[in-house]
Amino acid sequence: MLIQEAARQEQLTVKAVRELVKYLNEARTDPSLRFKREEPS
Amino acid sequence: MADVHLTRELLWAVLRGELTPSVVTQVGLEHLMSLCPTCRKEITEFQKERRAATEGDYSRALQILPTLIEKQLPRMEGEQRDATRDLEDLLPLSREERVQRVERARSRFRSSTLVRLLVDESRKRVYESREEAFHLAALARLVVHRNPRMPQSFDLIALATAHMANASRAGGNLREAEDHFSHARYVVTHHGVIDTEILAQVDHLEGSLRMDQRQLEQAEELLTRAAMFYQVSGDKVETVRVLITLGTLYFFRGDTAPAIEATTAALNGLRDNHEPRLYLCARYNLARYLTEGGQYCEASDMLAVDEDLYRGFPEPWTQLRLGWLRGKIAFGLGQNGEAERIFLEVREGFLAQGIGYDAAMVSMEDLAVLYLREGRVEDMKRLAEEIHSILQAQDVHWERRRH
Repeated sequence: MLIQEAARQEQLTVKAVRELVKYLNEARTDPSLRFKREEPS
Repeated sequence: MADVHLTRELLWAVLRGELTPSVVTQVGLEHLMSLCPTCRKEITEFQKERRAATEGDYSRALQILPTLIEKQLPRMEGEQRDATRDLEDLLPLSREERVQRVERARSRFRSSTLVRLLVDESRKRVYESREEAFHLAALARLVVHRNPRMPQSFDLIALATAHMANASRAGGNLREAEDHFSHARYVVTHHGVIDTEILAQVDHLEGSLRMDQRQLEQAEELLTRAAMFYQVSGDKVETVRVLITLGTLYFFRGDTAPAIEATTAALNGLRDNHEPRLYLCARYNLARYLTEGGQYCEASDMLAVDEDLYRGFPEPWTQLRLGWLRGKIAFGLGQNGEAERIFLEVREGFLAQGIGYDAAMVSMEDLAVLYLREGRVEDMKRLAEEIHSILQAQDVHWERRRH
């Protein structure tokens, strides 16, 4: 679990959480979608 | 109809073969007549001459019209009564039995009114039972196929097929939905469907599919055209429904300002006492978009004005979403303690209702952000474990599909 690992390592950011939420919303109607985290700029 | 413009969407739709040119001709003529006195005079004269040539004296028609209506009205009422009885006889049966009844009957289960009633039933049930909604739309299509002489048969086939597609979409089978919409679209273009209300429904339902497929540009085109057709057919409530969907589309796309604009336009065409559920939906969405746009005080004022309205919908589904929005507003206004209390309460409510997905979303979208902003590392670790448990309990594994 991505969110668990990141929280344990204290590396979770607001931006990462929002990306994950966006992905979950989109994947809800398109189960073929894969999560791809954006590289930090 | 005169206020409807001849838009690019319409013209492209004809060029792509999605609409017959007669629809555009009708819209264009009405618009032209509303703008140019000469054209209006010429077209009106032409219509008069044509009527006179084909039907003789128009005043004669006016004289016989009341008698005609008097004769037709009982027939129409009878047809409505028979179709309602047909529907009532079909609904208690199993799906197989319904099909058999329709296929075996010689005179019953043949009317276009029954087709529309079945489509309405399909529409009502699409969120409670997708299989049943699909079956009812397919049954409506079967009724048309069993009566080749039915008036407007191709219009009704397109309508029933679009509702079959919509039931597939609501059930998450987007590929099947796509196939049915292709068929509906084929019927629209090759069999001259010009009933604007049916064209609007096909566009509206297909627009919803494109939204689910995240083809937002195409969805916007279809929904805009649907709003235009509903306007042409004079259906104010459906026009409002499409505008609300358009608002949602803009919101998904991250465009808060047009989302607010479309939803405000929808609300202008609606009174709460006519369609209370639709009105509530539009008011809620608008408050949600204002919150997302950082207009927390305006959103809070809206909820205060709508207190009575929300009280009319006490079911958990509505009340939990209202609570969730209150939490977001409190968080936006910097009332973090109050926001956290509401988010936790709402999350428990969703879990109690078995809606784990929304419980997980409250945790991630709001609680996680609140803990991270306040630097509450241990709370965040605990929350991450809880999200994991919720998603596991709901058999949601999307998070693992990372590339």
